[in-house]
Amino acid sequence: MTSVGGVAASPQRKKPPQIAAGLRSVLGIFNNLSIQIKASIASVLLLICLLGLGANAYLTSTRSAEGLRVLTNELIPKQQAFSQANEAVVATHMKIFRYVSWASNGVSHTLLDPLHAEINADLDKLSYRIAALARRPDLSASERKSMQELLSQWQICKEHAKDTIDVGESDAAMATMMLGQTDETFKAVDATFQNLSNAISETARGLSNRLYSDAEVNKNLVILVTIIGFLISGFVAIIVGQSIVRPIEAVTDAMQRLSAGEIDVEVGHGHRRDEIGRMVEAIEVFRKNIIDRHAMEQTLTEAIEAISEGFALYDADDRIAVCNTRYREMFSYGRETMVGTPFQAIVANAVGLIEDAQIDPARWIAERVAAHRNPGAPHLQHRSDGRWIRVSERRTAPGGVVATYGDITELKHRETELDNLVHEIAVARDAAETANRAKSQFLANMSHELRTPLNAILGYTELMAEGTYGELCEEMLEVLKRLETNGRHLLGLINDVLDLSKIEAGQLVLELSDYCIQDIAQTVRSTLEPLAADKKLAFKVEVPAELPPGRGDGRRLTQVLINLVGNAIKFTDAGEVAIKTEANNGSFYVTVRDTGPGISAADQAKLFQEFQQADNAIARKKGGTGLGLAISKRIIEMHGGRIWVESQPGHGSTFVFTLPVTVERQVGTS
Amino acid sequence: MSKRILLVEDQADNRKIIRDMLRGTDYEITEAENGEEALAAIAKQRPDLILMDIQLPIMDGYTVTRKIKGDPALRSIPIIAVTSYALSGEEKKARAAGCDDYVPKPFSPRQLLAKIRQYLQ
Repeated sequence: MTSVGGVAASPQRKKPPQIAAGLRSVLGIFNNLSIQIKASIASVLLLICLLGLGANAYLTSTRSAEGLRVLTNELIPKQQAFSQANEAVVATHMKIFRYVSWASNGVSHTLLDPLHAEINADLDKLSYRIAALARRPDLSASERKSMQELLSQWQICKEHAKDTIDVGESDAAMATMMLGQTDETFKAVDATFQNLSNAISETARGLSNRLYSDAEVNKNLVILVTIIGFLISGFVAIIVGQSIVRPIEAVTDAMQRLSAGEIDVEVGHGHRRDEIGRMVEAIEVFRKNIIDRHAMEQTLTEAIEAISEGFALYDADDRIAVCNTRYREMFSYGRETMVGTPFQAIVANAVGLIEDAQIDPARWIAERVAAHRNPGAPHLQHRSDGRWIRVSERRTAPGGVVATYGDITELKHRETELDNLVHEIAVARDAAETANRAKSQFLANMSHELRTPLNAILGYTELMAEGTYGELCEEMLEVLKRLETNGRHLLGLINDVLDLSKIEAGQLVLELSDYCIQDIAQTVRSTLEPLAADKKLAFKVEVPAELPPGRGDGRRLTQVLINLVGNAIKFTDAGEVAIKTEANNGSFYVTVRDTGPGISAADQAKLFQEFQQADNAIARKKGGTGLGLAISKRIIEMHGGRIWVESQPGHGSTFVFTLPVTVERQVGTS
Repeated sequence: MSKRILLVEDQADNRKIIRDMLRGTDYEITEAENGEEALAAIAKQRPDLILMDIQLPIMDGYTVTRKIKGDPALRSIPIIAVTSYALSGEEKKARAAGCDDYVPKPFSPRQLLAKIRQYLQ
């Protein structure tokens, strides 16, 4: 406090105009003190006032009591003692005066003598009494001095008195004369007594004046302290009111408004560093939390509102806690709030809306409520208006239920359409499969049926040509040879058509096994070399011995190579036909080169299509089905390979196919 | 003693061709027109080789082959399947059924005879 006072006091002394500013800073510092310290300061100030007042009252009353005691117990009895002694002296003086007077007037001794004796006794008593006064312990130094003087005056006075009355016994005139002197001595004693009495009176008066002024001062002090105390109390009350009550009122008001749901509340007093400041900070945190929560609630509400499905949250008592407009619409509640509506009531209200509920509404309600309380898999509601609602319900942690109501009418319709479509497709597929099976069966049967007579024709032809049935002339043998050639051509056609059909139907399955490419080339050579020789064509086979063993359908690859070489021989009239095989980077490259007429670019493009030959006229002349290359292309592609032709009209043709050395899986067919 | 060949074939022409083909040889030929007849013929007299057509009425060639190869007493008789080239995997199926060899139709009588001689050496 002292340091605070010092800091506050120095600017006040320096610049008086800054007093207000100084006061404000003091007030500011005071405001920053905690309420407890403020209350303590006020209490201490009041306590100091009370202690001061009490101490002063104690001191003055002690002093007054002492003064009073001195006054009543000492001064007044002392003065009385002196007054009474003085009165006795005066009385004795009067007796002496009377005695002398009586003696002068001739009063008889009968009357004078007792008076004489009485005066003597008085004088002795007075001597004793004055001596006693002089011995009093409560005499002050000046009184003691006066008493010494009085004692000596009294001695003189007493002697004069005794002398006077003694003389008066016999000589009244003398006594009268002496009386004057005696009076003087008595007057001196009386004066001294008066002085003493006056002095004591003066002392008493001074004491009494002091007591009175003390009392006066005390009274003023009490008034003053009372005023100061009143002022301090008032000041404290104002300060407390300013710095505590008003902020607390503001805070209380803010809290009431916050609790009433108002969030736009400015609390103020947040700059303070005392309890109220902290309280305000806490309230500010509450307010921010409320704002955050409010914003979150707003966001959630908007999100829930934005859900295209009906959304509802039921509390643990199965009453609506939250729902969106979509949900209200689905249950025909319009814009009215549904919060607090029990599920049972909603279900009962919805009976008219739901097709499934029409048969037995009471039972439907019971089942619906039971399913709702123990939600399982989503279920469908068929509405009376034809719509389909998918209801998904889940338990929430606090024991409520959260539900979504999705309108899946479109989906349902599409599903129905899809079901129909699937059914149609299935029917079509079944029909197609049946047709395909029929076709395959037909082809198989046809193949068998065609081949059986062909087999007989070829068999008999061969047996006849070999002379099994007797010797034949040259011409007959020539005809039999033509018969066999045509029969074999027919057989080739049947086989090609069958192969292609199977490929088209995706039924051609490669029989993958190990093969030797040299063996294939050898088979082709032994099969076709006689044909080349007939046309006087050179037949070259370049197959290195170190080629790796292959894996694939050797029989089909042989078919491909026979087809290519067969074509080459067929279309080449002079020169050579050459087979070349090599392996490179895990692939076989097989080349069939001829010195035939060559093929134009336009014809090359359609060469590998079904029933296409470069020149139909030539094809008719040369025979052939026009299916061989198409089949070869498919077979090579099923091996994951490629087949193509490099040719220029007039410069021969080169057919190339390449395929992986090892084929472990057939490549998907078209 | 001449070797006995059982020819299982439903087509008369084919039977005749094979019969004619074997005319100049000393093989003795027995004929059966379907699977049941084939089994009856085998039970009657054990052949040294069987030429088996596959597409047969009543019981097909594969079934007959499986029955013969399932019988320990008959298992050693070589069976040459003689069948159409009609369906792919026919040779595989023939071998799976237990056929020792396979000759696709139309066969050349000369080549078939060579194959028969190979088994009856």
